[in-house]
Amino acid sequence: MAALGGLLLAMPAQAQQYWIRLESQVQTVAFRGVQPDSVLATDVVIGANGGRFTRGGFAVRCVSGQTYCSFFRPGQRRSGGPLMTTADFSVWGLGVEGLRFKGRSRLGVDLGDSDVWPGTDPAVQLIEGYLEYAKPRVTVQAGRTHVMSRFGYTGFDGAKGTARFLRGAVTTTLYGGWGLAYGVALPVSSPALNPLDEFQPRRRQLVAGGDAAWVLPWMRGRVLYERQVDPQSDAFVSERAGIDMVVRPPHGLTLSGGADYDLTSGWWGSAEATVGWSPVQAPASGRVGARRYRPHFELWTIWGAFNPVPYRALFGSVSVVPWQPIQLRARAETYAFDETETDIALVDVERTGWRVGLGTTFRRNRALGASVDYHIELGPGASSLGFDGRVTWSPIDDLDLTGSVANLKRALEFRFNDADVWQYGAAVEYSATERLRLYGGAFYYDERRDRGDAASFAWNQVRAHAGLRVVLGSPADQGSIHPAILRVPEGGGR
Amino acid sequence: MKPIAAVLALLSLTAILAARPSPQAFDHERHARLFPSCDQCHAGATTAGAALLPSPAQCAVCHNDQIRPRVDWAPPAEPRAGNLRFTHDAHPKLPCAMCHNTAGAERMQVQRTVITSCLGCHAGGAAHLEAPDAVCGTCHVPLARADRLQEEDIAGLPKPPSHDSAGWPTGAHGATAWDEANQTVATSCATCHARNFCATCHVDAPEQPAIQALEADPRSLVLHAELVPPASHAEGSFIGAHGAMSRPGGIACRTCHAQESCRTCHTGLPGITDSLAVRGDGRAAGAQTRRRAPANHTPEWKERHGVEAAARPETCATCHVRQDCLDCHRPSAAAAAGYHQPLFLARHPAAAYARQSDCSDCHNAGQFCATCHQAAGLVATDVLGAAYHDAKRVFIFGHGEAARQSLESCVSCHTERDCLLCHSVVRGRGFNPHGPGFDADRLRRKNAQMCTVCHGAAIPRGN
Repeated sequence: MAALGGLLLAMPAQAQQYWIRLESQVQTVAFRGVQPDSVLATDVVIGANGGRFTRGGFAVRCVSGQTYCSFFRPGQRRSGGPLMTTADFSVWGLGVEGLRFKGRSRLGVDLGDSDVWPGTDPAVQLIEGYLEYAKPRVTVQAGRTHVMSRFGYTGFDGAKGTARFLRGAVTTTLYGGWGLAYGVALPVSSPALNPLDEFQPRRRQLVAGGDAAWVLPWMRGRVLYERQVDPQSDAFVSERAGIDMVVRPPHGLTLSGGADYDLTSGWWGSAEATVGWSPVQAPASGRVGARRYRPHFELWTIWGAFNPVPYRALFGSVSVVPWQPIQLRARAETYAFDETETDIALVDVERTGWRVGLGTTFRRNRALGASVDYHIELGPGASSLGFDGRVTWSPIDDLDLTGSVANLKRALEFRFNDADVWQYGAAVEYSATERLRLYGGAFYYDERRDRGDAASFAWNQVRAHAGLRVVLGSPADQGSIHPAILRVPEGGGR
Repeated sequence: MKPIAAVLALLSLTAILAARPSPQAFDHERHARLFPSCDQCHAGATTAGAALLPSPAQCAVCHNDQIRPRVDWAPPAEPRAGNLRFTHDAHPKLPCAMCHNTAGAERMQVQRTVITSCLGCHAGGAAHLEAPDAVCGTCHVPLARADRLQEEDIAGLPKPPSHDSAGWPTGAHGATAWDEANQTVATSCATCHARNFCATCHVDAPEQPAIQALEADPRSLVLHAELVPPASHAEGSFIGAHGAMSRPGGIACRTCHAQESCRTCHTGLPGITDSLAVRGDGRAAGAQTRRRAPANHTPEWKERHGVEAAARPETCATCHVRQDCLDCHRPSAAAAAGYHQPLFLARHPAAAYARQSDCSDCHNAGQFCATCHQAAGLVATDVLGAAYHDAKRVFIFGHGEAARQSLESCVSCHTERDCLLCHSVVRGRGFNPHGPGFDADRLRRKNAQMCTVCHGAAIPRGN
């Protein structure tokens, strides 16, 4: 940051360019969960169905020999009001061609009475912020940056460099630094990541990795490797290798696939192989494939030693335009978990599942469009089925009005709880100027949670949101546009 | 198109006309003894200006309801539709049997035409569709001048074998079509085709002399033709190599491609298509191309493209214009809202249990899942005797299967502490949590500290 400050001060102000996008959104949302409770075993009564209940009608769970039986009652209503503001910014014109500073930060506070919205602690988070030097043969970033790969999103404070050889046909990337936790721009030692007072590392892990890719217009193959090491114990937190490839032969085909291997556990992680078909000028396209999913746990935790098993899935999707304003689409997937070696006769747990989605979109012109989608998902743990439909009308170019209705039925395998939700909503988006966009909406939720005891309840609520997006930039006509974009010709349009 | 079209047309016409039912067909064989010579009825075959067919009065000499039943027949008002140049006047010295009888047949076993007789003199005895190219015009007029042929007649014209050869659609037919000696289109092509037909594929039709030498005739469109990509287009390297191939002196892209073909992808570089024609009258629309993402535009490309674009915007400019960038790098009406649909919060248990996608790519389980579940009362508070899993009466005994299948869901409410109550050697009951594929030695090598959580200092060897 000091170096950046020095650069900014050293360069004439008129040479510097900047681009900032601010997006701020506030919501009102309510939760109603459950409240654990207990009752003396001697106060439990036997219900008409032979089950055990409190005198108030709540189904209880009793363990032989214990004084108390436990149960859940509906929890209190808790309201959240998250206000999230994200700022993306880029500064260039620093006196060296190809040099820029790029950043993204977020401010999040919960204006509600319960402080329940996730991600608002700490209130200010730096998602990325790095100095970048980009030339045709090499790109270097230093600061808080990230790598996106089949391993997921790996953030770190360090450096990343990419070199290109053979006119870009071969690229190599190396990176390293102090890592951030998965899925968040906070170090693993942050208290915000430990709401349940779990074991937590005290020092950040060291991240190192790289990839080598061979890129041709019709194919791309890449091998990648990443390791994360706990500097305190000098032990591995994670070590993975992977490969992925995409081939685009003629006739609208796309073949893609990849796999990753967990070097710490000695097993294959997730993998997939897909064939896509999107023929020239045809009113249909489709995709079929197989995949395997296995969660990855870092060795900070003991979960990896519990041997989570993968599931294997076959999937496919198709999209057809039978006549121009109408698009029909369908997707399906069936999956089955591998053998867990834990079967017992007392408890039967689903091992297979499937999901299907059907939908159609009607769009006659820019001003009017409508879509309806139906989905059903049956499988272990939880199931759901429902539909959602929406109509969008744009009376003028800069204004979109959307009305929607949806229904969802949700059943949980391990719990007597069937939820049925109807949602009716309306939303509006308006581009006041090229640099200012406003949006908002309100959704009414009509929700019932059914059980066979007194824990059933119905509750309705309105969830509303409003936001704005502002773009600020250098005052010249095209000053807010990144110089790389200015090197792309305006062209004749399509 | 060599020997072909002429023979082709002759044969086809013969077939067409022969196939047409003729309710009043004259039975020559039954009348053999009545008519010792052909010119008794067909005077026009030997006498210039005379009628080729008899008059009804000649038939009525016998068919008068006294000798034989009357017949209702009259010669057609016009000669049959066709594309033949043939006239009997031009062949006065030939005996009728030469063309109307097969070898060895009785005199009155007549046919309309025995084509082999024509080909015997005019094509050196070649088969009809294999006759030399130049002789087609001897017997046939060009299609555009065969005024009385109907579209169904043209559609039924036989296809010469050469048209099915591998290289015919892409190159061979062009070499055949140009009559170098006479600097015009080959008569074989003109017999069955007209300019309109060629312009269904040829974007460069106005620049092709062979095509321009053909007369225009919209009836020719009844014959179907379609563009066939050359073999080079199927090669995997074609997308990358086509630029060099298309430069002056390279492959003639302009035959099948209009400028619009290229602009499907090359939106930002319109100048590079200047050597091609623009779609318009007299030209084919050209090959329909489709914009395809190169192989490096993988799902995470959205995340990575900035670095590549900043370093090499020229590469992007091959297919993109500035507006493509500005669609996202400036707010626009098309800007999308959040990743999940509005109802997803209610739906997320099903999606999370079955890992429809990898939640942890974007969400930290501690910060995101556990924080909310804690607020909603969905966390384990003590021993695992609570009633949350009340749909399974003895869930605790069978939880292992659910846990190994959906461990990510379990840890959104449970801590290690909960599990160690039973699954720890030093602090719990020593139930072994290790399952299929567990490699104890490897894990110990990679991170022995993790093993000590359950085993203390006495980490056992093996599984």
